[in-house]
Amino acid sequence: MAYAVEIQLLIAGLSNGSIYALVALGLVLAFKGTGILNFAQGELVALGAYIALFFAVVMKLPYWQVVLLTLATAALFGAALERGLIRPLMRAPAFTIVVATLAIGLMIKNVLRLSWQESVSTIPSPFAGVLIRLGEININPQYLWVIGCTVVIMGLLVLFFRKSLIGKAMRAVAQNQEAARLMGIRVSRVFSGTFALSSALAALAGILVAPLIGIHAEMGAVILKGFVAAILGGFNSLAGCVVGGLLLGVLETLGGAYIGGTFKDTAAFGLLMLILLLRPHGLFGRAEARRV
Amino acid sequence: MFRSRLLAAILAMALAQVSFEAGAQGGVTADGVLIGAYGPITGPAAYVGLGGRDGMEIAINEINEAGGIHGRKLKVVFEDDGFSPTKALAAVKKLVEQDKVFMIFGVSASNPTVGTLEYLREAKVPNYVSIASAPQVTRPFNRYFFRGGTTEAARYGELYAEFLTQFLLAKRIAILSGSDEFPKNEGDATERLLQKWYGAKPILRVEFKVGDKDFTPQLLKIKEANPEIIMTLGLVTEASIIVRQARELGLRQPIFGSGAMVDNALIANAGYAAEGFMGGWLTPLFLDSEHPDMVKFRQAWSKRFPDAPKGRPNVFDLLGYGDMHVVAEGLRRAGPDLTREKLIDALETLEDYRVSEVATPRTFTKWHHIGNLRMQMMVVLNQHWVPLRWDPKRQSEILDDYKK
Repeated sequence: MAYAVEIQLLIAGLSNGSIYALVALGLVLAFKGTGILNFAQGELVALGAYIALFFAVVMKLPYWQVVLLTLATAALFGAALERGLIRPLMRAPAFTIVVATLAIGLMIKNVLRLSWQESVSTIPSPFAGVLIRLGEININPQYLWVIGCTVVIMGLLVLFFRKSLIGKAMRAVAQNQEAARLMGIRVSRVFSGTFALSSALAALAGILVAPLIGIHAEMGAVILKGFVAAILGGFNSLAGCVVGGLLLGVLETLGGAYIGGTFKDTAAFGLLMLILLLRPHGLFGRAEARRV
Repeated sequence: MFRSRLLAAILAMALAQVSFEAGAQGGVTADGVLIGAYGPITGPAAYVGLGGRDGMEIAINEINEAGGIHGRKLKVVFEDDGFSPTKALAAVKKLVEQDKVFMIFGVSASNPTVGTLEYLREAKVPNYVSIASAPQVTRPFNRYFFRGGTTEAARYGELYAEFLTQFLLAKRIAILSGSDEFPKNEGDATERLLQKWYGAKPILRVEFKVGDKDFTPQLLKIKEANPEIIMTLGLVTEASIIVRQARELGLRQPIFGSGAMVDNALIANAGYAAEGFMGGWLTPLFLDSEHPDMVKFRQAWSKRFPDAPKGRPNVFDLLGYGDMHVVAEGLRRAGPDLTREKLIDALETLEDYRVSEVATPRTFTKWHHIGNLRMQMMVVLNQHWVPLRWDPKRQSEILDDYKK
């Protein structure tokens, strides 16, 4: 079949890109909602995967329960993190908070490493043993599942921010905390909610990617690609994150195939530089207008 | 003036004391021998040092419970090197100068080990290393340095090339290797020897970066080249993904992997895609073998460490265990009048010595201190690692340099 190789590359690229998109969504959500750049987002992905591992392997629960329980646990953890560690620092300089999130990430990573050492584990895919075959094209259904979940999540998030009262409150807080407070919105609750949502998104990325790449303490390194996806998308728009993530994933895979496996990142980041030179605020970003 | 002279005098005396102590036969008393050990037990390579340390402790327990050696019990002071050459050197200096140990037992990786060699050679302290395998560790020959369980990095290339072409009878080989130092060296050595010894230059060599999670581009290239066998070099995290993706993309060829990939994590993660995967392992038996010697080792291990973390004991436990027994045999042969020079002479008499079948036999001579040149090839069968009946026949070139 013509283009069989290209189609397989494209699907693999879109699936990798979806994970970057989910990480980017979590980053942008927390940044928009609270003004905090959460450097622990990558480790939250790893933590989500380990929580899922606990429910799947130790408690032996079925996949759907694992997903729901993991998301709920991760959301609680995110809210607790905000309440216990981030909120007391809210009045500190922005840089201090960034360093604090970095420290939180390191703590999570080291706790995971101490308790699981260097072993790699995995949770079973809901599609274990199933392979989609179309002529010469072989597709792991988990790839399609990852891509589908990401697109649906983005749609749900857009609806949530446009239609629901909580979503609107979050947007109000993001725009102007003082005004939002005067309107009767409890800003601190919105902060907790934002962190809960952002942690749940990270955990979802962890659950989705675990059957594909395994679970280990170094999973958090995905944050770098998440940042790139978010910047590509303009660091402001949810759709931008998804487009940025997918673009990065596809570029990386095609770069690996046509330039060489070790040049994967070089090809992808080279193109990122080019796009940012042409559109400094990303694909979906706009320059903030400031009155002087 | 007087005070600074006094200070200088005290310092000079202290320094003289240190160098005197370093040169003397420290660490041996009527009822004990003090051994200094180091390795990474924190940081990214902690699984190496923790394994090495715990395996060594189990051996020491066994030796002491059997009455020790010539009436002396073995005692160990352990220092963490955090996988850093400078910390390893500081640890070794502390062990020699402050703790006054009789000898050093290293369970660290190559980089930290290299940092300690010069100092220990000058201090004339026997330095037995169990794990580090880079050529810089063993070359040039150094009377005070011994390497046990692991084999020389270049030896992997010899073994892989012979196994692929002489046992599996493969001629069209594709190599998929990591671009970092260790897999790159292994890949280069294999490629060179495949061509030099057997005229079977690999038909394709593709690389990936450490931390890569998707190998679709490389595997599709391999599929296009259509080799008889795929050889992959890197870590078990990478192998788990490579094996699964290869089968998903319709590659049916056998896959052979490097030593680090022979790990139960591969089976746990890749499941039935891992069936038939082959790789080299540094001891004759795999960890879950039902051979009585391995059962005995496992029992001793879980008695000493009842709450084992996942993935333990690992290969480094086995290496540390086997090598501490080799040291003990050296101490035994050195006789009751123990000195450092006598221990070295005694170790040089060991020929194919091992405590049991959990370890490969170690041989040392007056002209080389490379204990092991063997590897056991393993295959995944019914979701277990099973040893393959194959022994290399071709003479290794590794020792030729030492003979000259």
